[in-house]
Amino acid sequence: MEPVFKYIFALIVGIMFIIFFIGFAYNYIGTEENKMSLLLTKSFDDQLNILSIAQDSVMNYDFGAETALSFNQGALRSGSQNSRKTDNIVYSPVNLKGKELIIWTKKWDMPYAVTNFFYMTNKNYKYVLIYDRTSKDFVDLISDPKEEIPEVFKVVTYDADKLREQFNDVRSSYSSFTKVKFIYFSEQPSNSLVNSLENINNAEVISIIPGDDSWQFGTIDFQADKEAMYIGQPMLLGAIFVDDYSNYLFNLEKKALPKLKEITEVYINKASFMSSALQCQEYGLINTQLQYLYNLNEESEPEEFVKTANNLENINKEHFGSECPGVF
Amino acid sequence: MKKKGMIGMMETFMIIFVIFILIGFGMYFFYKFSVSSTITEAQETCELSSYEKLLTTLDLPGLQCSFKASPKDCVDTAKLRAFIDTKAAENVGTQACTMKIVFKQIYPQPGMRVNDTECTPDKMRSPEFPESCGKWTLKVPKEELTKNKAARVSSTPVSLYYPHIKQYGIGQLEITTYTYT
Repeated sequence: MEPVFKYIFALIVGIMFIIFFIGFAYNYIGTEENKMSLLLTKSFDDQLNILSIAQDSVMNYDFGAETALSFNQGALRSGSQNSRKTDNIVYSPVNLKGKELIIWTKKWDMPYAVTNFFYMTNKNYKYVLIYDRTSKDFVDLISDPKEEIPEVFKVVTYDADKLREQFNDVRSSYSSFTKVKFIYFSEQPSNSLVNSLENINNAEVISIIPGDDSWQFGTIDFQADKEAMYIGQPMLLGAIFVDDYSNYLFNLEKKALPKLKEITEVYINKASFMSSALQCQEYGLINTQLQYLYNLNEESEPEEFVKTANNLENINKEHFGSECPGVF
Repeated sequence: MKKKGMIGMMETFMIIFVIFILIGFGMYFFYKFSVSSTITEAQETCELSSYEKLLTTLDLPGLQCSFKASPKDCVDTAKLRAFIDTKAAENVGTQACTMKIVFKQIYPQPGMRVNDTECTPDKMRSPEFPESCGKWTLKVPKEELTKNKAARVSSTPVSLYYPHIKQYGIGQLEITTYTYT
């Protein structure tokens, strides 16, 4: 064999081997990464499932290393692998990157337990609650860690007038966060303040407009003509932590309302069964209200949901006793 | 000289051929090992899922007892029956593995001939209830999903409440997971 041919041959074979081994290593690394991220999303979702049996619970979830998670329209994803569909209703930024995650869960009652909502964030996000004279008491209540939002979320509150005065200080002090979310609670939010806040680079502004004095239902204004209703305080809290309008709407229309329908159907069936087994007329009365709640949908007014839930609670409390046990 | 060169080339090809065969063997065993370790991991994940399901099923809002809208630590059998009859029951379980979920009645003890009888609304309304039937099947997988798979059972005791007769009983939540052998 000619020496030159020998060298060329050795070079070709050598390159082939190198390409083969590098390709194999890359392939293996990719497969392992996919497997790891699948396991990560699975164990995280399991953790949420276990937390979902709690009434009201908060925890710091430590991944042990820098981890990127994304929650978008009911899908949980880590890395570039296919997403995992989760049954849990999560209100959080779409992309969460960090070593730790704050998770808070709260039960949504209508008036019976329907499901748990999860609120998640990390230290890269800041939440500023703005109040005026119409909303001060309510904002004080929800920002009080003993009452509602846990201390770890480090939400701050501002009076709308003071925020106008200190606008530049606020803008510079929060510039290092990935996102600052301004949540303006008011019966009549001021457009000029909303417009100025929207001009901050890393800011997002939403307004929460109550339907009545109790703040149990109302409208979330995501700006740019995007509005959605909220039903109950846990859903209002969801609007604070959710990333955008589309995710809020997805959680409302594709998750929370169908879940309410599911549970209401169970109580309708139970009331019918109890009625046939015990011959109590009260079950007919409660069944009418349950049917009404079951037929409400995303087109209905939030007030109707809350009023029907209150009616159901009253009927269940007042019309049932030892002879005819309550439905829920 | 030419013949010597030919022999040299043949030798080189033979060596490369043998190396390829060795690499092929190596890869075959590596993938075999890799597949078996993935199956083991899947089985472990499935087992963990069944324990998680044991914990969470008892507290599903659609099953848990409640009194004036506040939850109690028992399973309301009227709600359980109602839940089984809704579409929501089909979604109970996990994406990770095939599961069968059954609530069994332990005390009052159902009659020998009925301990495997499903508690339908008619059976629950009968004057003999709770002795008239023995179980509530929350989820049963399709037969083709359980074929050639090993079944592993995990269970936990539960308190059962029969609201229409205002009595409590003792039961067992049984979760069977099906994994590849």
